[in-house]
Amino acid sequence: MTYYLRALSVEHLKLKRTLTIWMVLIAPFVVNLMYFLTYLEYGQTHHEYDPEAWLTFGRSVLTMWTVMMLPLYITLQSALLGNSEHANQQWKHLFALPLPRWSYFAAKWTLLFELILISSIFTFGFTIVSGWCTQQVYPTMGLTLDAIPWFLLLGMSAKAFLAAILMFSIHTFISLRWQSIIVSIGSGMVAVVCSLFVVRSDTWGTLYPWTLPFMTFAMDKPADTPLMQIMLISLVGGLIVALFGMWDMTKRQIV
Amino acid sequence: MSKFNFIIETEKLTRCFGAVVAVNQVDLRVPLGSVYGFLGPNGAGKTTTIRMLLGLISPHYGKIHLFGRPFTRQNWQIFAQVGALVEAPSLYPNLTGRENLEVSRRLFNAPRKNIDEVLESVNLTRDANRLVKGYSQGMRQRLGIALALLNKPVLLILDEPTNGLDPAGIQEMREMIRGLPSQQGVTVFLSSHLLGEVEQVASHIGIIHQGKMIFQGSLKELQAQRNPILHLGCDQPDHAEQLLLDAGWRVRRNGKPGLLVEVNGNSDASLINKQLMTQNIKVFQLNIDQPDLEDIFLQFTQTEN
Repeated sequence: MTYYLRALSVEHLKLKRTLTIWMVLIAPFVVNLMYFLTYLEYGQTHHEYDPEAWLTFGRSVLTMWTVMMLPLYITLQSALLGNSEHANQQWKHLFALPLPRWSYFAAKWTLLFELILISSIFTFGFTIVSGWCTQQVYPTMGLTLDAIPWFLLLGMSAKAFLAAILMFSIHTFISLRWQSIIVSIGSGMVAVVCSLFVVRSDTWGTLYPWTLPFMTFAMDKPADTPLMQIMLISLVGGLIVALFGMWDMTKRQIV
Repeated sequence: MSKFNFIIETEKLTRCFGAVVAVNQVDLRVPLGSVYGFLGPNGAGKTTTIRMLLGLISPHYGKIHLFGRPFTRQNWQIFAQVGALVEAPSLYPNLTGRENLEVSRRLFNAPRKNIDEVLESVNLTRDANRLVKGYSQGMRQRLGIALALLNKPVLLILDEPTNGLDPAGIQEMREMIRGLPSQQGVTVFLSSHLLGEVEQVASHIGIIHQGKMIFQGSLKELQAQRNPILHLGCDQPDHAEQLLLDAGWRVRRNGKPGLLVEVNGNSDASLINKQLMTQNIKVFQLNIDQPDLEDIFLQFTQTEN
């Protein structure tokens, strides 16, 4: 455990002056800014009073976040984290230090977990801010602060985050396993493009790692959402991939 | 008193890449407290051997003993006593020199004061708080050495440590390496293609060529094994070279007009002089030197070829 904590503390230090740290803020901000601008442009058709305005608004932001931004964000962040080791030929140094190799994978995995968690919190926070800003432009929409359904919105965000664990486990593995950043980014882009088709299927959408976060709130009837199945796939699948990644790292040859 | 005489000991260490046998049944014996110069031309198998010693790649055959104990990648704890610099230093350009050391310090769980000590020892204290992306190649190399020294290792493995250093830096490095065994009890395993450098610091030498060890022993043993060199100056060096080769002498050029001939002593020099005179070649220089490491190295590798 102490090895893992040492490796994790080093991961935090290595974030200094990197794009990775800025992306935590930028990605959620961009999604919400785009939604706010969209409402400004086309808000005339939406500004009638909606008793579930916050849920509608939150679901819209979360849709953009989970379908497009989150998978691309995970792809980019994992690729950057992996590349910081590959590009600087760090493995030959790290693997000659008195730490078990699995601890490096576990630390990277945890760091990505933290980054995505913080971004998810920012996404939630910015949703409230952009909703409030929209309300200032269209006061009749019902996006008042006292009408915020905190638990529902937080619950949606939390479920989407937990459903992303398999996705980022896969990307952590890919980015650390393959030296080329093209493999990391290319795999993520292909997966996202495929997800645009898979997401239309209620059956396959709840099995495909890149659409799991969206499927936690996407069903027409919320009661139809196979939440247990999604969570099981994400959490158990994520754990299996992470364990495999740790095992694989112990076998790695640094030629 | 240590329970082992050799801090590194390998037995028939072998590693292939496809059909190429990069390291072929290498038996290394690195005495405790020595500076061991590991010599070989490019592609001889030096870096592959070092990577196996550090567990970065697995041998296909053979055994490694470090500190008298069998070494596999499973007993990585042994690296607490090892410092290493393999090829180019592994540095994070977005961090300062000090922060790069802090990364390794945390992983080693070493005391904080070690950072200042190693910065001082590689003369980087003044630039410690600058970003590494602004460092020159020599500064990066010195920081790489500092990383290798950070945990106060008992065994220091250096792969081409003087790469990128200016003459003053090389001189400092030489002094530092030479002093490590006596001052800090560190055994140094040093791979280099700079034969002159190795000659000035090493107490023991291993020569690897085409994956095989062709010599191993102390520097004195190495010098004793090889023949003196006759430096020969004449007016027709090309003709003379051909004549001597035809006569069975081992002749080579060193990029200068003269010839270098392996001899057994003064009588050979006289004989060569006579042979050339009979062919109307005018000899104006004949002097015999003990071979330096470069001569020895070339003698060995040419013999193998």
